[in-house]
Amino acid sequence: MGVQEILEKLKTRFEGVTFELVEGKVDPFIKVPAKNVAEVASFLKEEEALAFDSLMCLSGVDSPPNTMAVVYHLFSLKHRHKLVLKVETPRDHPSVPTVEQVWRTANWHEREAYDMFGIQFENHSDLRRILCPDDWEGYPLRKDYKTQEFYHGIRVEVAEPPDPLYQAKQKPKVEKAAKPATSAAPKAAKPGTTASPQAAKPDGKTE
Amino acid sequence: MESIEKSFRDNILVTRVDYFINWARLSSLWPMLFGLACCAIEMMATGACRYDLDRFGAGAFRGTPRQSDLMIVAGTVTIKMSSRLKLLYEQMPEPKYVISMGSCATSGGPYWQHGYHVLKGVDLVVPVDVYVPGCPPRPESLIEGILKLQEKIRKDRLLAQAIA
Repeated sequence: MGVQEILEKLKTRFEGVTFELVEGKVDPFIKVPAKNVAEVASFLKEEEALAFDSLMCLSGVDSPPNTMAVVYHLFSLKHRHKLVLKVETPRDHPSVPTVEQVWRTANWHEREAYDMFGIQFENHSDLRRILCPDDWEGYPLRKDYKTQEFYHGIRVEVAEPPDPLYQAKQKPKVEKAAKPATSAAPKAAKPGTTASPQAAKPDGKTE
Repeated sequence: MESIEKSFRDNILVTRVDYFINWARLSSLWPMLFGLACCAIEMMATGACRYDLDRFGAGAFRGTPRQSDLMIVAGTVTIKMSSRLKLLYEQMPEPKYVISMGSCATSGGPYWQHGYHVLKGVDLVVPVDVYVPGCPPRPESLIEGILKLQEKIRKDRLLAQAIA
């Protein structure tokens, strides 16, 4: 069943809701308003002709300056068709209803979206960080994320500045420049060496 | 008292005993299973038949830190894991050694620049004896790391330190 037919079914079922079909990308997706996500999700699962019983993936998207989005990839094992939904939410207080009651796997997927982007999922049973430690500061996959300097006394980023050899390999910043792949050359010593360039780094840093 | 202490310090008897103790210790380094990521596969390959670690005495990988005296940190250490790593290191009995295997354990590896949750080098939490670079290091590299550690143990003066 193609995206158009699914869109027709959704439109007949939910009369007051504005769905928007966006084509021309890799997967054409349907934009759903945030407040209707839970009922649209349960309709998509329960309806016989659609039967989307598998949530393949739930991802967060950060689109500065104004919106954040949650993308759902659905699949039907019965009818073998796929669907992509996108829900947009404002960036300063991102909040989306949970689909955990419809697909159980959304429990961890939404925890990951919360951990990485800070998107609050309403009525989630256990919304806490899943990848980072519970007392981590910030939401790492946001575009404006700055790593914290210390975590429990351990320095999070590399302490020493890049050495001259690394600086010489840096090209001037073009719009889509890739980061240079090599790290500092002195670290690639002969195997099994006991002397280390890191010996200068004091290692009594933990509590 | 002085003369008794002097007789135990750095004489032929103590050095021979030290030699034998060190020889016994370096020929039976039991590593603790601490494979975290891809370097663990190379560590398993080193312990397997072709690059046999057991011929160096280091083939008995123990599951518990209480029975091991070598911790081969093989793989990327995340910051969440680093507190557990420190705990397990403290549970190992003395004398204990740490080999940092691979570039992730040495200095954060390919994640040194953008990895916000990667520990940039395991020597930020535990003291390391031998660093084995590579991504992953070949089994021969790891074996050379263990041999270098054996050289280090050969020079240890445990008995003389204990008495003096």
